[in-house]
Amino acid sequence: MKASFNPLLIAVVAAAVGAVLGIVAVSIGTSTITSTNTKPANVEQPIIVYGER
Amino acid sequence: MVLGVGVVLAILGPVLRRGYVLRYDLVFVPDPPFGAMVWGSGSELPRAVPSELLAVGLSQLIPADLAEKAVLAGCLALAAVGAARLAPVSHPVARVAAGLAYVWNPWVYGRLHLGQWAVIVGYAALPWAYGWVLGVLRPPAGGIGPGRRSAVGGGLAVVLGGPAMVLAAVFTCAPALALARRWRAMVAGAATLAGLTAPWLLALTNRGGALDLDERGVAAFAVRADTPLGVLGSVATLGGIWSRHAVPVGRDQWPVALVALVLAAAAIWGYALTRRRWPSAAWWGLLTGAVLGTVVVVVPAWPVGAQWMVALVEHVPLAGAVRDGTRLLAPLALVQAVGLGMLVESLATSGARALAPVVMVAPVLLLPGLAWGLTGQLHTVRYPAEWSAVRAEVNRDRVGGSLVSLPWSSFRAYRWAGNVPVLDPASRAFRRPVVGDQDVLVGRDRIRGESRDANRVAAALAAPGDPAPALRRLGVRYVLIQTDQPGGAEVEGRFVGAELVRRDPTLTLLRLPGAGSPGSTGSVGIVPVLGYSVLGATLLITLLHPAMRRRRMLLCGHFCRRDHQ
Repeated sequence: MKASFNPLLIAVVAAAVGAVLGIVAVSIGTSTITSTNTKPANVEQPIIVYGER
Repeated sequence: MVLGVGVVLAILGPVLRRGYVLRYDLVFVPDPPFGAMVWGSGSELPRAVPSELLAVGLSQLIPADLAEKAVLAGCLALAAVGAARLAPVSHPVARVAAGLAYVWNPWVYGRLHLGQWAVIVGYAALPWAYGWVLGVLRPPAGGIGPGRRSAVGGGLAVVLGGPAMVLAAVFTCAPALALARRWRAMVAGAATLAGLTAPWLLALTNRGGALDLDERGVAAFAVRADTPLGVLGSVATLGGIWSRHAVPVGRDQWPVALVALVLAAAAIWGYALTRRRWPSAAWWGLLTGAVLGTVVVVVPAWPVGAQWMVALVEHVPLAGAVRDGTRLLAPLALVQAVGLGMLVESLATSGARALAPVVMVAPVLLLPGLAWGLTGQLHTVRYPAEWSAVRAEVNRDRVGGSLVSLPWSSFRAYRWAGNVPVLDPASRAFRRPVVGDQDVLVGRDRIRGESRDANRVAAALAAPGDPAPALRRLGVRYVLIQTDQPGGAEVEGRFVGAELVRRDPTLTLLRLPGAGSPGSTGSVGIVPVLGYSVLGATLLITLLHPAMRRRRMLLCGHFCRRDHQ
């Protein structure tokens, strides 16, 4: 079967890949920024919590 | 197979080595004994029955740290392979997509973060249990039958997940059988499930008295919005877990949440495409189960629903299963996994085949935080040597009496384990009954535990002065003080008249003066034996019966055909 060049398909795929890469970048960036806020309770705290809402 | 191994390596890669993963509910100890927690013979709710038996039993065959990893890896692999096999697709990429979607989602992230391995085992069993339902509704032409053995295996694994996962399995399987009016299969499935749940049902009955669940737990463990999309959007994308620490990083960002919602909608669309590939009752049944589970999950998000749920938990036995209700999103996760597999197959066989791999890996790209041990949050540690010494000292003593673990807190945070909160390992480390705090703190709310022994010990500790005489009257022989924990040093000073057995850098073991109490060194009562006997008998009947029936039919000369009725 002969392969055909479909510019619309290429554009859609490129947009999807771009969106996903963007999300990954945002996720990693957010992870770096908020890492101090997502640490579980540590031993210095007077009480040890199971979690926080 | 490759999918299962790949998923395990991608998620558990950094912890696939010697050492223990200790976090929240995930507690394995070296050489665990068959203690009260295994048999559910204490006064607390038998939450660890029968999952703890699997953990302890496996730890008799291989070192406990390897058993822990085997269980974690096994349930992740079985979940992925089960969903991949269940999806009515033929393209390999589509199968991988279904398996990947079932494992790589915020639900699994949250439960893995909280160390709830038994819940994940129950989750992993659902595709296998539903495979049995499909086999009942549409027996394969080859005459193999509805895969009873895998169904019983699935049922056993579901039971490990506790009442909530049993309810999730009922939501998943019962509607399809009811819609198809397969009442005999439904009764057989219910009887099998009842037989497999016998250990904790009987342990619960033996405990006696009211369940007395703290109603504040309903609000504390209720679903919450972990995305900007609100509760419904969070639930639709398989999130909404009660603890904000257990939410994958990035879900609170609009782009991530929106793409996740689009992917969930696409998966539901894909599920719609499977309608012609499954019997109508199977298709509608699984969808009904997912809707039922989702409704139970979202009800406590509104004040009226929360009041209903409180009333339910207060008045209906075992209704506590709906507390921490997001566990009941498991059927929805199965619907979405099957749907995503179907969607990928549609893409792969249509003009947009280039999109198929992108959609297949989209769950991974949306949730990179699940990879590589929750991006480094999972790690292995080793218990300090003093734990073994203390355990040997206590287990050597033949005199009865329980052990109280102090300071009075259900969770510990060890510096040597990265200061991650973890359930007190002492409860699992000793042959004799261990009494510790059962309350849990959710933020500033203290959710009361259900152990009557713990309540009595707490009252003794609350009284001023030396608590040793009061504890001795309660049958306590040993007091273990973990001095590296908050308040540990202060509580040690209160025991004036106790005999010091050992003092190590982080553990102090005291023996209370007196003869101890006979008969409470952790001996197994009749009720646990009865419960596990019923479980064993159920397994024997369900697994051996078809073979015996086939043999009988073979002698009668009409093999196989009637067996598939």
